[in-house]
Amino acid sequence: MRLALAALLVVMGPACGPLVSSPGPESAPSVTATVPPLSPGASSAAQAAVPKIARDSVGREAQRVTLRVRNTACNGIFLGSAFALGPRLLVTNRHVLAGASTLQVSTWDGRSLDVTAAAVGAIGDLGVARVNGHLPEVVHFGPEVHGGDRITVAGYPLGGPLTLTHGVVVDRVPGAPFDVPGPVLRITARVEHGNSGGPVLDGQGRVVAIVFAIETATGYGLAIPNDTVRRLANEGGFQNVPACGSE
Amino acid sequence: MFCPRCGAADQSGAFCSSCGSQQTSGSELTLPLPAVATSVAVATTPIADTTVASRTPGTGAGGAAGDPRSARGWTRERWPWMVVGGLGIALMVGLGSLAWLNYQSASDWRDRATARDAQIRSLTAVLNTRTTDLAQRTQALNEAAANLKTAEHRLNRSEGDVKALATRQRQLAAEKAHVEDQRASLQSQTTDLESIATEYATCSSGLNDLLTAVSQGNYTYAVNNLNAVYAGCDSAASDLGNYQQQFG
Repeated sequence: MRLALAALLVVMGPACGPLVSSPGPESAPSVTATVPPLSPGASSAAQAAVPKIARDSVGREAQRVTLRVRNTACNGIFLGSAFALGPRLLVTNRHVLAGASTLQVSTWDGRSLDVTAAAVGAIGDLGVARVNGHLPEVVHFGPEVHGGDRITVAGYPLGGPLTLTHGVVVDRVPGAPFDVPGPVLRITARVEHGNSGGPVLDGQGRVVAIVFAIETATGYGLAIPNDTVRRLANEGGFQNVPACGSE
Repeated sequence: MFCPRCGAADQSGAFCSSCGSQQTSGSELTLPLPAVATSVAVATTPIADTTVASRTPGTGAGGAAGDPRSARGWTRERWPWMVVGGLGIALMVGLGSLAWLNYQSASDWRDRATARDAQIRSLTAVLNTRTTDLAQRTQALNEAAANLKTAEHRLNRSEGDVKALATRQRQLAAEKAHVEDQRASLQSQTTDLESIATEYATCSSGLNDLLTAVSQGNYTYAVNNLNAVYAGCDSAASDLGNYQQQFG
């Protein structure tokens, strides 16, 4: 029996060996490269807000589209505002163009352009003119505005530099008030002499009306909305600018 | 005498000198061996039987080798050893099989460990490469962030400059427009003054003609043109008055 056990151990010994003695794992290779820390500037740059581009602002848009009209009449110099409908075509009020012996347009960047042809509406306070050079920028028309909508009036009041005044639409006067054959907007934005013919812009810089007068009873500005302008352009029957003294 | 096993003492205290010699005496040879007998006794028994048979033929029941009872006894005596041997052999075979399986399993594990080790080395190399790449990318990102910061500062400064220039441009444009307004106004005044000067020149010329006519006694001409010359002079005076009223 002892002999059998001894023989068994002799046989089993080498067989059990590999199980008992493991192959002996060699030391695992370690990662030697290191990653530098991310700089604070990188993380802050990722979180930084993109600054607003001033060129896209309503102010810049208004500045580019608004024109200054100089009417040299027989009885003096009259100033008004306008905006470009096309590269060489502008729209303003009839009374800005009336009685002119010479018409000139100044752009926001200091260029002066001569008016080569002009016409005024037979009805409504609307006039158009063509100039001998390229206007800076053509306007984009916006949708119809209603009471409470925020608006901006751009123009050259009192012959001074370009100004922007902000306000809201008071209401939309129906019928044919103020000698205009169509609805008229009343606005709270400050309007002065020289704003006539200037654009009324919505919050996205789109033209929604043309300034033409001040309501003396309330001091509200009066503006012809786009739909009325369109109607006047279609039905107004444009004619030559009345001569000095005949307007 | 009873000798239960070789080398053991009998009842009288005597020691068996040889188991084979003791088995030569009569019926004691048929006694079964104890279960714990050694293999030495098994090996010596046939020799004793043969010796006895050759010496005393025909005597004793268990003395002959060809006796069936003797073969059965031999078998009865050895079957436990055969069983133990068989079990031992079976155990050895089983354990050997287990050992072989164990060895095979160990070899498999060793191969697998070697393969895993190679895989770990490979993956570590890849990890090192990736880490190096990541370090380079992070470095580049840091540099880009620094450049972005610089560009942002420059952009802000440029934006400020552009805004200031645009404001200045608007001011200059407004001043230019104002100057042009004044120039246009002066041109208008100049035109008006030229018109008034022309009217005064006409007036003066008419008055000179009237004086010449009177001095030469041409009273008819003087009477006929007197009102027209006066009207021209009045118009010139009126326009001058309007001009002065308008422009000061």
